Amino acid sequence: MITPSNLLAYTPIEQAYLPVLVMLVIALGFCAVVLILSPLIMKGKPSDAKLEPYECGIPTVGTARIQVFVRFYLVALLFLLFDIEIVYIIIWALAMTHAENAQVPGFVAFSMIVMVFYVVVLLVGLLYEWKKGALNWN
Amino acid sequence: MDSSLPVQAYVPEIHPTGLIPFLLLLLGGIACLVVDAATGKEGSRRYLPWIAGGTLLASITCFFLRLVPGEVFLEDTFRADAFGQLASIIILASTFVMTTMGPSLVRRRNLPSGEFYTLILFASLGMTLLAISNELLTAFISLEVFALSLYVLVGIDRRSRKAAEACFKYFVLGAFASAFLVFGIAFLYGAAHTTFLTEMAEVFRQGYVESVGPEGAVTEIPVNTMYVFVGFAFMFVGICFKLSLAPFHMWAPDVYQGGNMPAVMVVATASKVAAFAFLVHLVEALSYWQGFASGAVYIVTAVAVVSMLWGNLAALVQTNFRRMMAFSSVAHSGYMTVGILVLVALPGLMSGAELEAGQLLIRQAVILYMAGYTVMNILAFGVAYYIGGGGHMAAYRGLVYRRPLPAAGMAIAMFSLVGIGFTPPTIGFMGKFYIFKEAVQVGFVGIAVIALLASVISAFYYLNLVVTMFMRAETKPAEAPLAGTPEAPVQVGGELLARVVLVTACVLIFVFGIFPQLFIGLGETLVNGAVR
Amino acid sequence: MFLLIYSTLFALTVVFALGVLVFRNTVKSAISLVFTMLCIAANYLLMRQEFVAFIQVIVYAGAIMVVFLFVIMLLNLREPESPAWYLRGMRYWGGALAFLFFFVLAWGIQVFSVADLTPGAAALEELRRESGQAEVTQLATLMVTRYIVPFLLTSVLLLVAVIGAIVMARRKDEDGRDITFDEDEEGA
Repeated sequence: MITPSNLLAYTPIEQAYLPVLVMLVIALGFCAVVLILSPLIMKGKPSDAKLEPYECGIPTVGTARIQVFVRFYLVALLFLLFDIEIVYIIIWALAMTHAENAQVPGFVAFSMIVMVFYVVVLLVGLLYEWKKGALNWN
Repeated sequence: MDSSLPVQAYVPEIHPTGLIPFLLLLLGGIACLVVDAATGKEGSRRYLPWIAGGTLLASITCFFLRLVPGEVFLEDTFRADAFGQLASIIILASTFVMTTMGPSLVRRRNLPSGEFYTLILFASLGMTLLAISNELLTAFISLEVFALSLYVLVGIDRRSRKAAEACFKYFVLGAFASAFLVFGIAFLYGAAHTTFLTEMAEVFRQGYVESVGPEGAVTEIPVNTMYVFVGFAFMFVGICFKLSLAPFHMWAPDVYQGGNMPAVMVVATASKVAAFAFLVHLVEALSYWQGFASGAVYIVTAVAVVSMLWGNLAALVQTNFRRMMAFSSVAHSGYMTVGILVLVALPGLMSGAELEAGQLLIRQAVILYMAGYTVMNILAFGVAYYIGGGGHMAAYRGLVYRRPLPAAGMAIAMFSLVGIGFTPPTIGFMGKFYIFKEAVQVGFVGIAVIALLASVISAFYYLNLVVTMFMRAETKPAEAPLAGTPEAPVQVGGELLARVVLVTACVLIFVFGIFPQLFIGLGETLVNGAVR
Repeated sequence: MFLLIYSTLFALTVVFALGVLVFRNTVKSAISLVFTMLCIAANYLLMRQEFVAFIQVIVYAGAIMVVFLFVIMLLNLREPESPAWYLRGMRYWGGALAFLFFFVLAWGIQVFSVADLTPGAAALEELRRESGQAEVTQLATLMVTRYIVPFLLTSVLLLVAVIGAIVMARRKDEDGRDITFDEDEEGA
C-alpha cells in the first residue's frame, strides 16, 4: 500500500522521477481546485465581456469555422513526419561511426542493413505520396 | 537492469525464422501499395484482396509450421509463448475475415482499395507484435502502429458523416490514452530500471535493482512501491481504453455505430485480443512484486465490476444493434478482466511450480475466452454486415422468414454470447466457465457471483434480438431500403468465401465449445509441447 | 571563459524570448521564437545533453515552428487590434505575475534539484566520465543493438502516418469526383 512513510523512502537514483510525480500531482490538483472552487465562489452576474468566448485576451474577430485549404495541413504534416525520421537517422549515424563501435566485427555491416531497411520503408511512403499527388500543389 | 558503462556495441542475435510471419505482413502491406500504384483502380480492386488475404493466411501458416520459437527471442524483445502465438493467430484470423468483407465494401462505398488493404496488413502487424512483445517500448510502438491504422480504417469512408465523427472521437481519445501509457512506461522503468518484462519480473521477484557503480561496486536499490503503482495504474488506464473497459469506454458506442462494419469488427475483436495479450504479460511480470496485489486488486476489481454491470445495463436500453454490441463488448472485456484479477492475486497465494501451473491455467482460460469472444463477434458483425440495414433493429424483424441461414447464424452468435445456463455446448459458455472457475478457486466468489448476475442481465438483450428475428414484419418490410443506397443489403451470392467464413465461425463455436481442450492443446503443440 | 559563454548564451536566450513578446509583427515574433529555441538547444549542449539538443533543433525549431507558421498563415496576418478597455492594464499585472513565477521556479529548482549531490547520480556521472562515451553515443548504440526492434518499427509507424494523413485529407474519390457527405445515418 502507498503510505506516507514509503512515499518519502525514495532512493537517491530515483529522485529523477520525483519531480515528474510532483508535477503530476500539482497539475491534477490545480485542475481539480479550479473546477471545484470557481462555481463555489462566483457570484453569477453575467455581462457582455464575461459571456464572450475566451480566445487569448483580445476581443474575438470573425468566426472560428473558417475553411482551410487542406493542402497546407498535408504539407505541414508530411514535413513533420520526415523531420522525425531525421532524428532516427542521426542516432543511427552516431552509433555506426563511433570509433569503438566500428571495431566490433560485423557491426558496421549490420547497421548498414538496418538503415537500408529503415530507409526503404520510408522511401515507399515517399513514392506513395508522389504517386498520389500529395506533393502536387495544384 | 542498468546497463554497464561504456555501452558495448554488438551484433544483435536476429532470429530470422521467427520474424518471417511479421516480415510477411510488412512486405504484403508494401506490395499492396506498389500494386495499387501500378495497376490503377480496377486492377487493384481485383488483385489486392488476394494479396492481402494470401499474406494473412501465409502468416498464419508460419505459426502452424512452428517457425516462431516458443520462448523469448530477438534480444528478448519478443516472447511468443503458447498464449502469445494463439493470440496472434486469432488476430490474423480476424483481420483475414475483414479482407473477405473488403471487396464489397470497397466497391459499395468507392473506397481507395490500396490504402484499405495496406492498412489492414499494417494493423495486423502491429497487433501481432503487441501480443507477443516482451518489451515496453516495442509494445508502445506496435500499439501505435495498429491504433493509427485502425483510426484511419474506421474513418476511411469519407462520404459518411458518422464515420468522420467516429474516426475523430476514436483518434482524439486514443491519443489521450496513449499519453497515459507512455507515462506509465516511464514510471515502471523508474521502478525496475528495465523495459523488458522478463527482467522486470526478475527484479520484482528479488525486490531490488542491482546498480553497478565505479570500480564494479554493486549497490542494491530497493524497488519503489509507489513507482510500481503509478506506472501500473497509468499503463492500465491506457490499455483499458483499447479494451473499452468502463469507465474508459465512452468512445465505443459512437465508433461502433459510425465506422464501417468490417473495421468495427476488427476494433471489437483483434485490437482487444492484442491489448489483452499484452496486459496479461504485463500483469504477470508485475504480480511478482510482493506489495503489488494489495493495491492492484482494488483497481482491477473496480474496473471489472463496473464494466460487467454498466456494459450489460446500458446494452439493455439500446435500440441500435451496433450500440448494443458496443456495450456488450464492454461487458465481455469486464469478464476477461476477472482473469487478470486472478493473475494479480496468484503470487500471493502460491509459489514455485504451483504458481507456474496456476498462471498457465489462467492464461489458457483467458485465451479460450478471447478466441470465443472473437468468433462470436465475427459471426454477429459478419451477419449484420451481409444482411445490410446498418444497425437498425428493424432490419432484424422477421429475418428468420426472409433469410433463414443468416438468421440462424445470428441466433447462434447471440446464444453463445449469453454464455450461461442453457447454452453449454457453445464456446461462450466454456470461456466463461473456465474464467469463473479460476476466480472461485482463488477466492473471488463475490466477483464470480457478480459476473454471473451480469450474464443473466445480458440474456435479456441478446435473446431480445433473437425474438425480434422471429417476429412477423408488421406491414411491408420497412427494412428493405432501395438498392444502391448505403443501407441496401450486400449481395452475398457471389461471395462464396464470405459464406465459408461465417459457416466456419458457426462450426467453431460448437467445436471449441464441446472440445475446449482442442484449442488449448493447439497452443502447446505450437510451442513444441513446451508448457509455458 | 566558460562563464562568459554561459552568460552570453543565457542573455541571448532571454533577449530572444522577450522579442517573441515585444514584436507586434507576427512573423518577427515567430523568427525570434526560432532563435530562442536554437539558444535553448545550445544550452542543452553545454549541459552535455546532446540528444535533447538535437531534438530541440529538429523537432522544436523545425517541426513545431512549421505548425506555428501554419497558424500564422491561416490567420492571414491581420493588423494587431488594440485590446479591449478591460484588458489595458493587464500588461503590467501580467508582467508582475510572470516575474513572481520566475522567482518561484528559480526557488523550486534550487531546492529540489539536488541530483548531482546524491550518491547514485554521482556514481553514474563518475561511470560516464570513466567510460569516455558521450551520452548520446550510449543512447545511439543501445538503439541499434538492444532496442533494434522499436527502432525499426518507428519506420513502419511513420509510413502508416503518411498513408493515414493522405487518405484522410483526400478531396477526390477514386473516380476523381469531389467528396461530399452522404445523408446516411450510419457507416456501411
